[in-house]
Amino acid sequence: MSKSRLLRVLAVLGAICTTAAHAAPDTPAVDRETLVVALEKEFNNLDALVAVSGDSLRYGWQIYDTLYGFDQKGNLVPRIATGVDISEDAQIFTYRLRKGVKFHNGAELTAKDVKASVDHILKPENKSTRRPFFAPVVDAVETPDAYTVRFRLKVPDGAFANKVAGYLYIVPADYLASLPNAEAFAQAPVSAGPYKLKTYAIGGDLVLERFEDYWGEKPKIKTIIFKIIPEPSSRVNAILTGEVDLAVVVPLPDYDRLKKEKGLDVIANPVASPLYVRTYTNQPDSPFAKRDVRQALSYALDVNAIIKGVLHGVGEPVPNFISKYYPYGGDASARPYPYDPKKAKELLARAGYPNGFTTKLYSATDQPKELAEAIAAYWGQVGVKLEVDRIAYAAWTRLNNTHSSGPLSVTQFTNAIYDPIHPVAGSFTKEGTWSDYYNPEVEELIAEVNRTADNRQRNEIFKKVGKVLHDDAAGFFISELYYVFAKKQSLDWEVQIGSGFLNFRQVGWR
Amino acid sequence: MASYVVRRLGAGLLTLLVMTMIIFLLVRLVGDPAHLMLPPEASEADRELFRQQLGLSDPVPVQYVRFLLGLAQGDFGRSFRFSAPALQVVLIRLGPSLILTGAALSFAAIVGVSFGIVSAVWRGGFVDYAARLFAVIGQAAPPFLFALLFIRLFSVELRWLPTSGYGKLAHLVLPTLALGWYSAAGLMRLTQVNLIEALGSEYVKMARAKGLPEHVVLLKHALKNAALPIITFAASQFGILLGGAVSIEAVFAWPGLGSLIVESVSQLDYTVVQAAVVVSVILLIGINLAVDMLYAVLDPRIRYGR
Repeated sequence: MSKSRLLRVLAVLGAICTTAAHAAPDTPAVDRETLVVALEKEFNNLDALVAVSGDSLRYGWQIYDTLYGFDQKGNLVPRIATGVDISEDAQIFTYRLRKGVKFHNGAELTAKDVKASVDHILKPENKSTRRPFFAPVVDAVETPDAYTVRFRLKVPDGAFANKVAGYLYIVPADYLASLPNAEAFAQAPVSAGPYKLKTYAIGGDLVLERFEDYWGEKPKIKTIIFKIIPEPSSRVNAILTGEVDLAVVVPLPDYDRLKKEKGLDVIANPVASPLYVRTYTNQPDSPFAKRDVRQALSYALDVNAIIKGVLHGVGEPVPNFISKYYPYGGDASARPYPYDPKKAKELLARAGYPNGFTTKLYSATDQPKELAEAIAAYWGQVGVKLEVDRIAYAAWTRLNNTHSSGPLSVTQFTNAIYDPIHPVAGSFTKEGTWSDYYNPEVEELIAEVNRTADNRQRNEIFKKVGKVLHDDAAGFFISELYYVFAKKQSLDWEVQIGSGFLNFRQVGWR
Repeated sequence: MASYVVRRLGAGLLTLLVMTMIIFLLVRLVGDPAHLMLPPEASEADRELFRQQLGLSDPVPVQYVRFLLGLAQGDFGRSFRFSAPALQVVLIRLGPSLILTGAALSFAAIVGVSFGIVSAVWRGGFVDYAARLFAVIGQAAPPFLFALLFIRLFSVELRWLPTSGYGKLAHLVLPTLALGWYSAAGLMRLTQVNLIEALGSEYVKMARAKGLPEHVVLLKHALKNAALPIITFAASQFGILLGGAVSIEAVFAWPGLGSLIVESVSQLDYTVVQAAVVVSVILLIGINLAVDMLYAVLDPRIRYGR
């Protein structure tokens, strides 16, 4: 082919690309009765009482129903239960059930189904990942009558009502008992949620259909189709061509570009999940045992610049570990450490490290690599050299859960129960899995919060915890984490603030 | 011939055994599902109980023997991610993989071989340059780059084809092109070179001297003799395509075996990884054996079994 000929062909191709300029279509991918959602990850187990909560929360809220649920901001609201009585010592939780609630198979929901659901979690053979939330605290589940369920706890658990709302999906006792084994439930799950399972095959789409006998307000959308599109750019392309109506976990680098696209809404949703560097503080010979060092390194980070450069501006500095997007416990008036390298150097010198020191930072592959690099660069400026060790997420969990990822690791937690106890107790108490941080003041406050079921009081206690963690520089807090969604403008859908849940109970087309 | 097949199968079985041993150890070195699956609130006792239920608390040799005993009965264990038999999970995902690999290989064979012939016969002409350009572009960049460019052009800009998905013929077009182009380019070059060599050989001159029509000379004499290396290459491409489809499967959300293995390793779903490895090893051993048999059919000088 001659050169001019080749150029002409390329020019034609280029013209096709540019003249076909377009806006992302703002009409339903299928029809106004259907919602098509692109997810980044395949579903695992459809038994939401067994599957890892982070995975089940995509389908869980649509298929399953709970005694209490969370509203759009994470406040507890009655669902199958109409009310709950909590004993003064936070050890007896009595739920009154709604009458006439139907399961997808037509059976009526009663107290024995709630008990069977708890038993399903507790049985070791079922390999439920929720077991560790209930086994240590639940002493007995009593059913005084068909519409009353009483949980007796071994120890006070102020967050128990939230655990029940987040983890205890109610499934039918008789149906469970009729199955050849517990795993069979995962192939054909039945609960009482607003949608029921229509079709699912491993590797294929998950299709849900509205449950016409749902006790509550019925959703406007009849069919929800979940498509699995693991590659981020492919999810973006699918929303650009209109093949899907909503794409989750849109990559941050695409945020600005998609914002300019007509016909699309791009939503950054805070997931109440602070991105931070966790540190071990309890080894006496470690520099991090000294508060001055921890404070110094907090001053040494320009978090605003990190958010702008690494997180593409999709973030927000956090003053401590308790996000203000929790319904309670966060302190909106708290301020992060300002960027002050001079002060950092002074503090380091005072702590006995005028020339800094060398240390190590773990970063799992699910975290942006640039984040660890940016931290290393900032700390390098005050003399602290950082060796970054980047490892696969699966390997990292083993190190992190066994106190072997010291002294530093980039970490982040999502929370499924809207109560700060989950990350705080895991990261900043003596018994915590993720840290050896030990502060008698925090221990005392956590003991108090465990005895307290009233969320107004929990709010006050957690605020105190947050202040201690900030002043003590218990970790190096970087940013609020956001999930970015892209949806068609005419899709009427509100995100679930402060969590990674997908809530399609209120979705519709404008 | 029969004894040759038996010997080959025996060697295949040994390969399989070694492969399972390697993969069995490797996946267990990656991490511990009790840490990955259970919430961090879990105590060590909770995790130990979970491991026991998955059969992971026994020493690795015990687990391996148990795995082999199960294997002998066709039992690959259960996937804890999907709550389903591991073999079933693998077979569900093998189908789409074979479809994609088969389509890509067919595309590569048809386009590559015909471009190769055209280019060898009309050497130096316009079609030759076009075919060479096709080959150079195909080998110049990794398939996933083409995948992304194709989606950009044919899906996002022109709206001719879907960006991703599985189930309809339209879903197959772009992944086939993206995956098959590289192999097509290789086949084109190989066909061209071998055919040019054959066309210059004495037996072709002889055939022409006998006054045979040109298409008979080309197809019956030259191409048949050039076919062996082409077939070897094509067969080796099948394994490469099957393995290399991972990035293409990810870009096009194609529910194949490659992406399953990647996910299963990262989720530490041991049983599925093991089952997938066994199934792919069996597949590759079978294909290699079939190719060797094909040699004997094509070239009577090749004899097995002695």
